[in-house]
Amino acid sequence: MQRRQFIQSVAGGVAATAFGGLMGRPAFAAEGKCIVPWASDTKMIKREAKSGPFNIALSNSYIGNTWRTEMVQIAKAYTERDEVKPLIKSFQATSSGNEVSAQIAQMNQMILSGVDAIILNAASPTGLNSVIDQAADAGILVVSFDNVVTTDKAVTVNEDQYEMGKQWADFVVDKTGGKGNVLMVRGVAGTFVDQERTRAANDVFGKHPEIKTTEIYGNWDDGTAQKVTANALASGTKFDGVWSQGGDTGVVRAFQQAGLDVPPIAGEAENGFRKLASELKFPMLSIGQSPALSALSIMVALDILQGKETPQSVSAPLPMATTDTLKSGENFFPELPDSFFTPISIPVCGLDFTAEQILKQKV
Amino acid sequence: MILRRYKTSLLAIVGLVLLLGYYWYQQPLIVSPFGFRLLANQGTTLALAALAQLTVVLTGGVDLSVGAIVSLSNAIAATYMGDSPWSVFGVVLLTLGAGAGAGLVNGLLVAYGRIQPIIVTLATLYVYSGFALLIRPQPGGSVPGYYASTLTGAWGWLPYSLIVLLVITLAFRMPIMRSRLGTAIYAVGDNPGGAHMSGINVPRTLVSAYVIGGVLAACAGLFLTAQTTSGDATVGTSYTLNSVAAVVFGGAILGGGRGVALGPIVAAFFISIIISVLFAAGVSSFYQSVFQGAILILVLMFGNAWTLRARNRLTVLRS
Repeated sequence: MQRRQFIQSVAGGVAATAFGGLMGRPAFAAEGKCIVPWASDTKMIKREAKSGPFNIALSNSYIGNTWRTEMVQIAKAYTERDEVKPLIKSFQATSSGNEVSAQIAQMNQMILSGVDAIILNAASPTGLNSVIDQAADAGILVVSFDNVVTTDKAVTVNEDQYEMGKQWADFVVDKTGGKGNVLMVRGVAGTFVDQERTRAANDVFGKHPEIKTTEIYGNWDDGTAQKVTANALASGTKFDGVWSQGGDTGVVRAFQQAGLDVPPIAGEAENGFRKLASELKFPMLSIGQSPALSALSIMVALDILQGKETPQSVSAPLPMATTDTLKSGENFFPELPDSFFTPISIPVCGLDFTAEQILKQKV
Repeated sequence: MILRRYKTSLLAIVGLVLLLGYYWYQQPLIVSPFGFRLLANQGTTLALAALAQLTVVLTGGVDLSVGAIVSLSNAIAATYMGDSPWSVFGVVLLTLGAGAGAGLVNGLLVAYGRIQPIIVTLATLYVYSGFALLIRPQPGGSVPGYYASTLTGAWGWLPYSLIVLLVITLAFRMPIMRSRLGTAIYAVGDNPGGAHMSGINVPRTLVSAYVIGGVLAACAGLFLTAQTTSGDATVGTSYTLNSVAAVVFGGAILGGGRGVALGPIVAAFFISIIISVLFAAGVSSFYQSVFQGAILILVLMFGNAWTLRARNRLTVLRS
């Protein structure tokens, strides 16, 4: 349930990214680079350098699922780092709930108190545009992430959902040798995230005529995904690979319950999924929306405030793990609940966190 | 005489003054042209929604579709407005018409369908939200900059939103409520049987009240559109229950027949601004909604404390 709420909230955000000018095909996330422009025609911005320390505020909308809580905790942990602390005069994180007018009020309050930058996870991709204009007029930098906004007055930071779907599909093609039956566990029908990821997968699978796909909707939810996967297995088809958008813990459990060997699975980044992969050793690729996007956005904001040239729209690195790279306590956590979001670190950007570091933070 | 008439609004006024005082203490910048504009813009949408709700509540009903009409107007305005002054004018009329139509459906179902208002408007809440989603499946759309600045800008210390609110209240709502229709609305809310016996056409009065409510809710939606400069089919959800809260806090009685516009307007500002004050006071996000509710209950309890001492329930009713 928590997971579904989270992805639905992401869905709106990514939809917003798409509005942002139907930005060509996203640039390939260059290996080993942290801040990558979203597309080849993304404009670069550069501000007059200011010297710190800066007042930074995080304006969050919905709070109350694991992902959002972790996101706020990571932001706080990041601002307390030795190398970041001297740059920050004050850091304030507030959540307004999924209500546009409340978030407008919250941002107005931040403008009044004269912050240097607002880090924003928006309740609506468009509803905050006018208050962002006001912030821009007041010389305040707005960096929007996760559920991003459409106005180009704000800098956006997000992961590319098409690229994510493509990497999953490439993995499945690689592990199955480009032939066989592939089970596609889709998300919530009609959402932008689901469409983008599936479009990418079909683009890849379309090039391999010997791959036969079966599509089911798991609603990004462990329970639903387990049920529909069990139904698909009961039909007797032998699946050689699984491309799954979420609810992956349930997908694996369905294979287990049917008494089958777990095939190669490409999926999201739930703790339960990675726990099972480390236990059962099936080939796995796990990529997910990182809660550390908040820390990355603060990093981008500090860069811009200090006069560094930065893309107006940043394609965040996709934090991924495979069965071989799983390391207990680093990218999966046997002692934490299945719903915990594992990609708490973005190593390319030097954003490494431990579970203890973030869990001790108060929200 | 005038004072007595507005006595029911006193609680909201005292509440707002105290709240603003504390806000000023926390955030001195609020007393500035910019701060005034923020405060005025923040409360106006809910104030208009509360006026819509009040008109229906006066008849003894309740309108749960207020939020949906706000969303629907927002969706229509942001989707079709275009850039030329004529299309802006046309779409504003169209939006008000849609609001009136929505109110008309509510009113007809209540008056001639003989269904409880709470059920009728709950059902139309879904219908109107559905229309809003059909018009604007994904958030987006835009309105011209001059439309937004005309409604949400300011002339020095004087925010335009307050003028808009005053004009709608004094030039649209007050003449209606002071007319025969207005008297009939109060009478129907107070005692429908008595109103009928006195020769008032009760169904027609009910329908008129719902139509006025619909138009006022559309005004709220139009103002919200200026504030957000875009459309979102779910943006109005919170206005339904907050408008009921503002109406009650503003001294109107849910049973109908009693209440003046001043109280709910002031209460709407109180409810809208309370969030900012909690941000300014640095209250943690998790506690904000707890505080919001607790403050409302406390204020209402203090306001009504005297009724506990009254020896006879008739004194309370007569007040």
